[in-house]
Amino acid sequence: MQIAESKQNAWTVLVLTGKVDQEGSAQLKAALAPHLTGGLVALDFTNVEYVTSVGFRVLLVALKEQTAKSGRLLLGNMSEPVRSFFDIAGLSTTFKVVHDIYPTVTAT
Amino acid sequence: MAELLALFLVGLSLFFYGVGGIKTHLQGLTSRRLRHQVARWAAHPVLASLWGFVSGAITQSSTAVAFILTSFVSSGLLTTVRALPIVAWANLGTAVLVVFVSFDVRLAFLYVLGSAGLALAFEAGGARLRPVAATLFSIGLLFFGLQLMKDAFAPLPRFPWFADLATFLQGSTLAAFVAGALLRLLIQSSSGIAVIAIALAHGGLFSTEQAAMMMYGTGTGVGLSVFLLSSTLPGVARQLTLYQALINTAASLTLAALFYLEHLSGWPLVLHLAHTLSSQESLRLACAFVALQSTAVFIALTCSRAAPRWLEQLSPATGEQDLSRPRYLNDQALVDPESALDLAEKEQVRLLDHLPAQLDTIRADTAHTALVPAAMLHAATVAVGPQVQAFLRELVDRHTDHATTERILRLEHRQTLILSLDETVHLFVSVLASLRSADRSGIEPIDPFLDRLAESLSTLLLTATDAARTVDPDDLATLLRLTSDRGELMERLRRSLLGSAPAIDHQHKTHVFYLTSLFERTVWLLRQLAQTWPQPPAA
Repeated sequence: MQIAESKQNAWTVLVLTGKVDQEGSAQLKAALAPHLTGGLVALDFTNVEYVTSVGFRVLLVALKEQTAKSGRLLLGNMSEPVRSFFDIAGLSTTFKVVHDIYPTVTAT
Repeated sequence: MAELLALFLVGLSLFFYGVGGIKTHLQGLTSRRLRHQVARWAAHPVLASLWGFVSGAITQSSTAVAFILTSFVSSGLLTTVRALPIVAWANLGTAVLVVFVSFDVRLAFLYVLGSAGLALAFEAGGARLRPVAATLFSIGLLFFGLQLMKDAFAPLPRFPWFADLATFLQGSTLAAFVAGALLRLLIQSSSGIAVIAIALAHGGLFSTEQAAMMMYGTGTGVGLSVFLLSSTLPGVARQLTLYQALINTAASLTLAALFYLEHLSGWPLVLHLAHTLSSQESLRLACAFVALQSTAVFIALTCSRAAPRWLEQLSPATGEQDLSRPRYLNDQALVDPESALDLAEKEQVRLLDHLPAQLDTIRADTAHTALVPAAMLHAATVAVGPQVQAFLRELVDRHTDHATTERILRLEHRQTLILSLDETVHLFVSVLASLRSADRSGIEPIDPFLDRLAESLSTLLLTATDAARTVDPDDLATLLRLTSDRGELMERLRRSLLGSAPAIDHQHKTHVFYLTSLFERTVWLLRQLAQTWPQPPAA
């Protein structure tokens, strides 16, 4: 998996490309770690084909840390199959999942 | 001569029929409750030794006791460590028969045989007392058989060939030792061979020394026999039988060495002691047999601390056995209920870990990873689950305060849910695996959906195991949120699946519906599980 990092206003945006599987999850975890400091973090799933349970676990841990530090974790730009992963696992109500993250990150 | 041989064969057959009968009819007397009681006795060192001694005395085969205990250990009723002293003392128990035989108890056992036989023939006492009468009848047959064997050898010295054979064997104690070991391979009863040796000495065919060496040889025979019989047993199941083989071989070789030392040096050792104790030959030989079995017990007691470690190295637990035995539960912890409950919770977390691990076997992400088979994980949960329940019940029986009792009840409920979860997840994994292995092309249109279902289920189970491990209010709140009712969503997904994948046949559709039902049931069970921890305050 490839992860492109950028800064947009107060937001750190990570654009993910590929599969968030066993290997991708480890990369995502490493990429997220320095940003879980209570700031604003957004994940762009446009090019994500697949998310496994290990990937969800990384996201849940990240959300827990961000919430504890009063930060935000925004997820969006998901394809329909990836979105249905979140729906079936009941994660759509746990995470802040939006159709498009960019209006939010450019406005703040 | 033909008549004597026939008499000997009848005696031998009655003896072994009696031994077999005692074992069979005793099984009719042992209820599940008694088996559990016996497991409790094993926790007490003195009672465990007594149990071993009595078992050996009744079954007349410490090897049989070792194999019976192996089944107890395999069923989780006993641990190997607790079974070791029972096996050791069973060896000494087998000597009871030999000592009895050296006395004249013929009349007493004829009465036992006659009255028990009549009770069986006329069904006196009804079905309830039948196993008791049958057991007594078998004991009577055993002794009657022994008596016949003794009678058969009595006239032997009158035969001319006997003198030739006696001359040939004269002084060959080593041959008698080897004969004892080989006979023990054929006849699964050391005490039975000891009785034969006494009868041979009684008939003048063997000297006292040869009869004693024949008895000592049975120890090595036990070692060989048990080693061969248990060669197919896996891991832990073989440990008890190996222990039996080792202590008997060691005792046998020790006494043979002492015999030659006594013979060559003239130092007063075992046989001298036997001579001092009795002037009667049969009793002296019985003493030699008791010495053999006592040496086995002595060796066992001397090595009792190191034995479990050695056995673990000699026959390590298989992966399945390792998973199928409790890792944290131990009876010593029961004295402190709070610590015991902490251990039970750790065991439950371990069982919960088996659930996502079962799913890993069908997830695409783990296709190239070496995984424990789902069936093995399921079997392990099924094996350990009742032991956790029994452990918790044991705590209920002890007087505990209100708060502890409440915690026990919560853990009991959690255990029931874990077992239900295991059953449901295992079904999910089995159905999905069979669906994929049977006809992959038939389910291609719905395969992505099945993947999502499996990954989602895995996510929920991983969240549950995390929450169980940390008991963090945030993790529990997340689990509760993730397990909110999603019946409507699942119904929508089923409908859309039917619309988007009309190509799949009816049977596959049925399977998919079943899988979604199992998914919903798992979600419901996980919610119930989350509620077994103290509830986090509402946000």
